[in-house]
Amino acid sequence: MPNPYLTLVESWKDLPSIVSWSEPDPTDGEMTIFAPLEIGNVTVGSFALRAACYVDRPESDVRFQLETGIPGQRTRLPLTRIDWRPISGGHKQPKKPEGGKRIIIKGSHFHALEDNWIEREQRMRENNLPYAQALESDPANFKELLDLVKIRFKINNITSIGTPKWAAKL
Amino acid sequence: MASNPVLDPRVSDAVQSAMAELISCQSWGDSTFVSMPLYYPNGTPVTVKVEPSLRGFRVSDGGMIFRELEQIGAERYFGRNASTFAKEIDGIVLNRSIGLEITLDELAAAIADVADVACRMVSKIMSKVVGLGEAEIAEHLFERLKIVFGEGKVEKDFSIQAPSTKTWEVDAVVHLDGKDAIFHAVSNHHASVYSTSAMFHDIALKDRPPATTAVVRSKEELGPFYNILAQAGNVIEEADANNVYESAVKWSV
Repeated sequence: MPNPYLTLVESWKDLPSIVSWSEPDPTDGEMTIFAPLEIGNVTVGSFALRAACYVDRPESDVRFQLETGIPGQRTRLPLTRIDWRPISGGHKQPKKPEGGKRIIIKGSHFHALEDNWIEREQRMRENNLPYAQALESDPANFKELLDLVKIRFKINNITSIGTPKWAAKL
Repeated sequence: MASNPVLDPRVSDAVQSAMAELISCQSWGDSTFVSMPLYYPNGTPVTVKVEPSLRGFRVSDGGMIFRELEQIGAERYFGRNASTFAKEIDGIVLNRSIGLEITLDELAAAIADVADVACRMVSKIMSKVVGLGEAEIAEHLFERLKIVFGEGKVEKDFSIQAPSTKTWEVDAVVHLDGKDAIFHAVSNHHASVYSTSAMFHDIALKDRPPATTAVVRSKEELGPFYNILAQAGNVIEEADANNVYESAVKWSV
């Protein structure tokens, strides 16, 4: 049976026209987007784009995630994610990749659906997308990041979200 | 006089380089973020925020715990757990983070304490979410056992008293001719593995012990926990064929 989430990730999607970044959270400055997605004019139930960044970290520490709901549960199931210039510095794989080297990924990385899907068991791996890949080419700025999100997440109008209202660099 | 042995500088240089990968810091304005050699369950390094305060410094998780939970839609667990974990380090809950107000001489220990508590809190909550997965396996398991053995022979949520005098709750029991077989769903979290292992060992001490079988999603994903489970009882995978379920009831540890 094919991966049921593959169609969601691999289909070209559109965001509703009114989506934009939230105001900074008063406690920690987090700005977010949580938006449904349309595939062929159908807004797909439970399927969403989640994005987040911080008002005081311009052009840094941004994440975009495609996720869906879990029947009967209030928690969400992340399907794929891009972490751009994370403040945490990188990512450690749960174990050495097959045929690869045991490394800690530095900086920006991509959590691919395929790497976190267990075909034989027809389910996502536990623990929130534990496998990641370093980005071959790290976006030089937010605009380039959106270009990457457009390609990886297949969202036609991703640029409509605009640039977050970051505080000026100190 | 004997001289000190000559050390190969390649080793110390390599370790220095590795250390730089394991721990690092980035500064933004007044704040510095320390990336620690500790990892959340998904592989993200635990990061601690240090900023100036009236007493000297404020050390916190900088909202990273909340953020880890938010990614899986579990942010509501933050409020329920934060004060408990903050108390462990004499800390306070700062809106969406856990932190400490400290002086310079306490800085290193405070960074370690906040990192430790952040890691443990996220791990605990993630295990709860994994626990929900365990309930899902148990539900599938019951349906599966009815198909394999027949509805009349399978009993759900069965209580069994063991020689320790503890009464254990198992997900399902199959009543076969003159003998019972226990099936219990196990996630790959250590808490699930240890409790099942203790239960199976205890039940095995009964005069006529039933066959005990742990049902897991994937033996491979269990890692070293697989051996711990296998020492206590049979282990099969949820997706195994019917004949594997039938074989499991024949084997008693």
